[in-house]
Amino acid sequence: MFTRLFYITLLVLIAINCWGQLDSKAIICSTNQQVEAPLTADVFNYDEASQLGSKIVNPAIDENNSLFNILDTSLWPARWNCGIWTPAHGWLYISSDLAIWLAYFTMPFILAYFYYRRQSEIPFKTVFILFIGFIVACGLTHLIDAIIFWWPAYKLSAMLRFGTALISWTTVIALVKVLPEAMEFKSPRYLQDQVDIRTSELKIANAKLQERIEAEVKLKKMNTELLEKISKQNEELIAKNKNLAQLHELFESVQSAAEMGVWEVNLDDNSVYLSDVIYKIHELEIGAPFSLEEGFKFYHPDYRNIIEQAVNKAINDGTGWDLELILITSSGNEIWVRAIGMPVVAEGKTILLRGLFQDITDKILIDKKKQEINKLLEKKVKQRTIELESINKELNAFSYSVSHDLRSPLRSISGFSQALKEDYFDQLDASGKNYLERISNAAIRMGKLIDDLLNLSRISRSDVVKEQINLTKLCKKIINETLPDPKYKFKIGANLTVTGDIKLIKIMMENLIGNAIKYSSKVDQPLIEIGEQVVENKGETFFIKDNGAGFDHEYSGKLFGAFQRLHSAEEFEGTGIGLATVKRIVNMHGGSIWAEGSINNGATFYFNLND
Amino acid sequence: MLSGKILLVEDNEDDVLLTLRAFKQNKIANEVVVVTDGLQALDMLFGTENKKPFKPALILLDLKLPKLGGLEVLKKINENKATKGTPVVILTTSNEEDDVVKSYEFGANSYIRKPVDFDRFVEAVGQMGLYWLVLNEPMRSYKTRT
Repeated sequence: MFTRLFYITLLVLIAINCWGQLDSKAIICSTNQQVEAPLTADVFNYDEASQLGSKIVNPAIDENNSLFNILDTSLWPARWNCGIWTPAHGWLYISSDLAIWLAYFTMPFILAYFYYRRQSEIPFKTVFILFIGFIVACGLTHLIDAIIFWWPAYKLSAMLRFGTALISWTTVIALVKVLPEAMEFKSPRYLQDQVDIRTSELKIANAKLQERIEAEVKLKKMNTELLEKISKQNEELIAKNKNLAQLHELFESVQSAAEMGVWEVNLDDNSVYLSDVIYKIHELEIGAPFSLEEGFKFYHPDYRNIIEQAVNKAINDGTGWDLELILITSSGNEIWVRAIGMPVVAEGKTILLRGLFQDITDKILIDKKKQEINKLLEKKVKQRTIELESINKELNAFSYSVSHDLRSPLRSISGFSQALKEDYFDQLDASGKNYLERISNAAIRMGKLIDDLLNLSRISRSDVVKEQINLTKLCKKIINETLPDPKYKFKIGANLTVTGDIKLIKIMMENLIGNAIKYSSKVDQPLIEIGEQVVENKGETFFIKDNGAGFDHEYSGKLFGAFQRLHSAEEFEGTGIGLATVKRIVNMHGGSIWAEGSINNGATFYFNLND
Repeated sequence: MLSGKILLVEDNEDDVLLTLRAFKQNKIANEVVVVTDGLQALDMLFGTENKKPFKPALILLDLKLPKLGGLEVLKKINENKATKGTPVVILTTSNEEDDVVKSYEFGANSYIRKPVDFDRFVEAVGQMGLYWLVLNEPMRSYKTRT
C-alpha cells in the first residue's frame, strides 16, 4: 500500500515538475516578450542578442557570455524588474516556489530516511536514489526561480535546470529499464491473498505437521514401550533359554546316566530324531543317518519281527509297546535293549512315534544271574529244609526216646533200690542203706535232669505266639501255685505288661521266681521284688531282685549256660538248666537278659523282651 | 468193682514188677493180667478163635510197645463197641505233648506219666487205683453186658 502510494506520489511530482518547468519557460518567454519594449541599456537580453545574431561586440557581453560563469547576473535584471509584477502576483509566485522548494527538499529527507531505514527492502535502489536526486534538483530549480526575483542568476538556473534535465532523463531511462521488472511486482492485496493462501496452507500443513509430530511422539512412545517389551521378553527368553539349556543338559545327563535315550519318528516325512545315547547304544557316530527301516535291521533276527509288528500295530491301532529285545550294534555286539514306544495320534491318524530306548544288558545279565542264584538258593533252602526236617525228626525221635528209654532204667534203679531197702531192710547195715539211698537219689536227679533237658529242647522247638500279657497277674499266679514258705515277702509292681508267648513267658517267670525263692531260702527274711525300671541304652526293663545268696560276679557269664552252676548241689539243688531255659525264651522274643549281684548280697535279673 | 480184673499192657519187665509192687503197696488186690505188646492186648480184648474176649475192669496201657503201639491199641479199643466203655489209663514214661493230646483224642480216660521217683510212682498208682477201681462208676450197659 505504502509502496503504491509512494510511486503515485512520485509520478505526480514528475508531472508537476514538468509542468513547473514548462511554466517557468513560459514565464521566461513572456518575460522576454515583455522585455522588448522596456529594454534599457543596462539590461540586455542575451536570448534576443543571440537570436539576432548581432555582431555587437560588447566586451561585457563577451565576458559574461560564458556559460560556465554561472554566478554572473550581469546580463539580466532581477525578475521583480522584468515585467510588471504586482506584489500579490510576485509574492504568490515566490512563496509558491519556496513552498515547492521546501516541499521538494523535505521529500528527499523523508525518502532518505525511508531509504535509510528500509534499505534492504527497497527494490530498484538506483531508481530510488535517482528520484531523490531528481526531487532535490527540481526543488533547487524552484528555489532559484524564487531567488531570481532579486538575484537574476539565470546562468546558475540554466545549469541547475540542465542538471535537473539530466537527472530526470536518467531517471526516466532507469525507470524504463526497471519497468518490466517493476511490472512483475505483485500488488499488496494479491500478495496479501497469496500470503493468506499460503498462511492457510501453512496452517493446514502445520496442523498436519502437528498431527504428524503428535503421531510421531505417540509412535516413539509406542516404540519405546515396544522396545521395553521386547527387551523384557528378550530377557525372559534368555532366561527361558538358559532354563531350557539347563533342562536340556539335565535331560542329556539323565539320559546318559540312565543309559536311556529318547527318539522320535515323524511318519509324514520319515525324519528321525535320536538322542546321543541311542547312537551310542547302536555304536553309531552321533548324527549318523538313520531311518525307521534301518533301525529294524539292528535287531537280532529272532526279535526283528516282534518290533516290526509292534511298530505297525502302533501306526495302525495307536497302541504303544514296551519290549525287551536283542540288538546287534554296528560293531556286531549283541546287547539287550528295552524299547518303549508310543504313537502320537492326531485326527485318528498316527503322525508321530516317540519313545525311550535303553541298554539293559547289564540288568538282564544281573537278572539272569539273580535268577540263577535264586534258583540255587531255593534249591539249597529246599535241601536244607529237608535236612532240617529230617534232623528235627531225628531230634524228636531222640527226645521221645530220651523221655521213654532213658527214664525207664532210672525208674528201675530208683524203684528196685527202694524195693531192696524195704524188702531187705533187716539185712542191710546203715552204710548199705545209705548207698541205696544215694543210688535212688542219683536216679531221681538224673530223671529231673532229663526232664529239664527235654523241656529246654521242647521250648526251642515251639513257636512264639505273641500277645499282651499282664505280668503282675502272671507272677502272682505263679507264686500262689508255688506255695512258698510264709517267710517270703513279695513286692510286685502294679500293671506290669509285656508282649510275648504266654506259655513261654510263664515258664520263664516260673524259672526266675523259682530261682529267687531257691537262692534266698537261707535268708531269714527273704524279699523278692519284681518291677520295671528304665535302664540306660535298654529302655524299659523288668527286673526280679532277691536278697539271697547272690553270686560271684566274676562268673556271671556262666549263669545262663546249660548245666552251668555257680552253687554246689549240696548248697542249692538244681540242674543248671533253668536260667538256660530263661535265656532261650528271652532270645526267642528278641530280648536280652543280664544279671547283677555279688556273693551274699542277693541277685537282680534284668530282662526286656523286644515287644 | 474191687473184684474186677486189670489188664496191664507193658513190655518193660522192670516196669511190670514195679507196677505190681505199687499195686501191692496200695493194697490193690485185683487180678492183674499182663501182656507185653499191643497185638497180645487186642487179641486178649477182642478174643480169638480159641479164646473168648477178656473183659477187664481197667486197662493200663503203655504207649511205647513192640509190634503195635499203645496209641493204635487205644484207637482199636475205642472203635470197638464191646471195649469202648472200658476205662483206659495211659501209664507211660513220656509226657510229650503230642502223645498226651493223641491219647485223649483216641479216647483215653486218664494219662499218667510214671515218675522216676518210685515213692511218687507208688503214690500215683494208688490214687489211680482208688479212682478207677473204687470211686468211678462204670457204664451201665457195660455192666449189664458183663
